[in-house]
Amino acid sequence: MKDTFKIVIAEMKKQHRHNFHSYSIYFSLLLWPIIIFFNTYYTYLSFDLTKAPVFSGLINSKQSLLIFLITGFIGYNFFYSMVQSAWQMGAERQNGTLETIILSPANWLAVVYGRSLGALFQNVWMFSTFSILIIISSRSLEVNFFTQIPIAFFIFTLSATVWGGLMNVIFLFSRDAAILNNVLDDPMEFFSGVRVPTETFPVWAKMISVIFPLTHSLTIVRGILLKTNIAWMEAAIKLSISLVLLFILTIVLLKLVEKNIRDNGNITFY
Amino acid sequence: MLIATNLSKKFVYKESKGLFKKKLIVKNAVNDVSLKIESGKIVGLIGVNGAGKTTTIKMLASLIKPTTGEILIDNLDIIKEHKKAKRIINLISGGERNIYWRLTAQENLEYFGALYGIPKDVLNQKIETILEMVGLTESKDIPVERYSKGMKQRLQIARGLINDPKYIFLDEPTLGLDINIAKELRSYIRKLADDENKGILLTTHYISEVEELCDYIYIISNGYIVAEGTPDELKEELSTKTQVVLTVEVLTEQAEVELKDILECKAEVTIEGENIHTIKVISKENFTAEIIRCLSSHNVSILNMKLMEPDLEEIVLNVLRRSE
Ligand SMILES: Nc1ncnc2c1ncn2[C@@H]1O[C@H](COP(=O)(O)OP(=O)(O)OP(=O)(O)O)[C@@H](O)[C@H]1O
Ligand SMILES: [Mg+2]
Repeated sequence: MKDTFKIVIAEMKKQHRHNFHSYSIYFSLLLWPIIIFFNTYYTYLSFDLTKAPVFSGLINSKQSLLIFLITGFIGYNFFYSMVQSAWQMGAERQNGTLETIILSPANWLAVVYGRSLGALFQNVWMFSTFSILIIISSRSLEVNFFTQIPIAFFIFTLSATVWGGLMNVIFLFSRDAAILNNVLDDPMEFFSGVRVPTETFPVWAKMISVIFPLTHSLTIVRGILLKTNIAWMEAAIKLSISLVLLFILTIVLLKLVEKNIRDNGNITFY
Repeated sequence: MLIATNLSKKFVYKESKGLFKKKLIVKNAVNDVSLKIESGKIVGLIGVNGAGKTTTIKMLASLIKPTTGEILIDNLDIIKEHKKAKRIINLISGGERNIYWRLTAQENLEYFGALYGIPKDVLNQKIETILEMVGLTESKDIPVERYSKGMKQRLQIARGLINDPKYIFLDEPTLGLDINIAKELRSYIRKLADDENKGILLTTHYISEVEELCDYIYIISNGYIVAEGTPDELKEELSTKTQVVLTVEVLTEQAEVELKDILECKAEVTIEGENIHTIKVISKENFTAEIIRCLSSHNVSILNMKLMEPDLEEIVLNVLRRSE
């Protein structure tokens, strides 16, 4: 257990040291989403959304629209940074460092979650920006900075880490996993309700949105910040179930990938 | 002692034939390889490209699982207990991969050390010692991407020592290094065996390296061990020829006849020259003693004698040629 913790910390540290020099990561993680965010915000603003059936009841002011969108984008970015950390697994494979990791007795699960947490850690400062944005924009909504924001942060962190673990394992499996990135990314943004409330989805779309833990995380976080009457227990249970399922899937895939690598020795292929 | 018995590795993979057709291919990379590595000894594994050296080493390092066979380290079954085994072994590959180029030497070692769960203070002490040993102390805070090839290779060695392994596997450690650095590296390897009592297995393409370093040699071809022994044993058993060249004064006819008589069917004898004769004897065994006895009994004075030792490189080439 102590070793596991040590590995998680070492993995986070390594990632930070490895990426610190790369401004492109910061650019893609912050600048790009902010541009998209403001683009969306001002597009929405040009319609009178308080009367729009899509947002019926949920959004009744500019502030609540802002919070709705900010939570959507921040949540999405937590998850997106996971995909990026998984993507770097490809580089580790190519550089042979993945083989060096496998050479050690390190617990693979610890490595995988260390990678997700490492990617999140780099976004802590982004979270601060997020918090400040919320404070500025929601004075009339009385967001409690000391309780509500940490809870929101915790929910995003937990669910994104679990998601990131799975992404990392999938990238361990195949060097062609980059395709999956494209397949999963945009649907996640749409179906999780980053820009549009999932309540307004048709049934089939709702069924897809259930798969993504981002959906449930957003429901809960928005419920907290916008003080809407959501079904608390239901959302929390849904989130827990999806996280547990993802965790089990991660472990199963990890066992398979470990066997696959030991049998075929193809870890160095790229 | 590490004892590997009858190791075989079959790789099964699909090869695409056109867009939808796939063909299953079975590749026997290693067949029935048995070998031993003793503590404090350096064992060499030599063979041509694709002979199965890396595959063998990866099985020993628990990176891949043998299809059949057994590997024991001091009675620990390392195929079943591969997580345990990984604590007492390490693999160092030649080349510049396997380390993080954007990290410094210190940071690389901190990371890899943590993977072994080494406590922080012990690890820092250890890092200091091995950096000193491989001579990277001064450049420990420079990112690896600014290192020369030799420095990267030395960092690889440091990395391979981080868990204080009992057995170290080196896969072409001097690949692409200049002669000075390669020589320096060989002296580290020797020191690891002599001073730290580590068991070492080494693959290389340079026979001279094997001759200089190895206490025992395995020659592998097409996945089979085709010869093994100490360098001297290999020379003795496998040499196809010993060559003795003598320069003598006035070789009498009688002496010539007797010499040819003694060596008949056993050696190839050529005699050249008028007053001063040169006798060349090429044989499988060494007949120097018999030749000298015969010549002196006829009072032929020997001016010069050269014994050509069998060359390990030639022996290896011969063995490989025969095994094909
Ligand atoms: N993961 C793998 N899947 C399929 N075939 C493999 C795999 N790894 C190695 N082989 C095959 O097994 C054989 C032995 O390869 P190996 O890498 O062990 O040779 P080697 O002796 O190390 O060669 P070299 O001197 O070139 O490094 C080769 O024919 C190679 O193509
Ligand atoms: Mg090789």
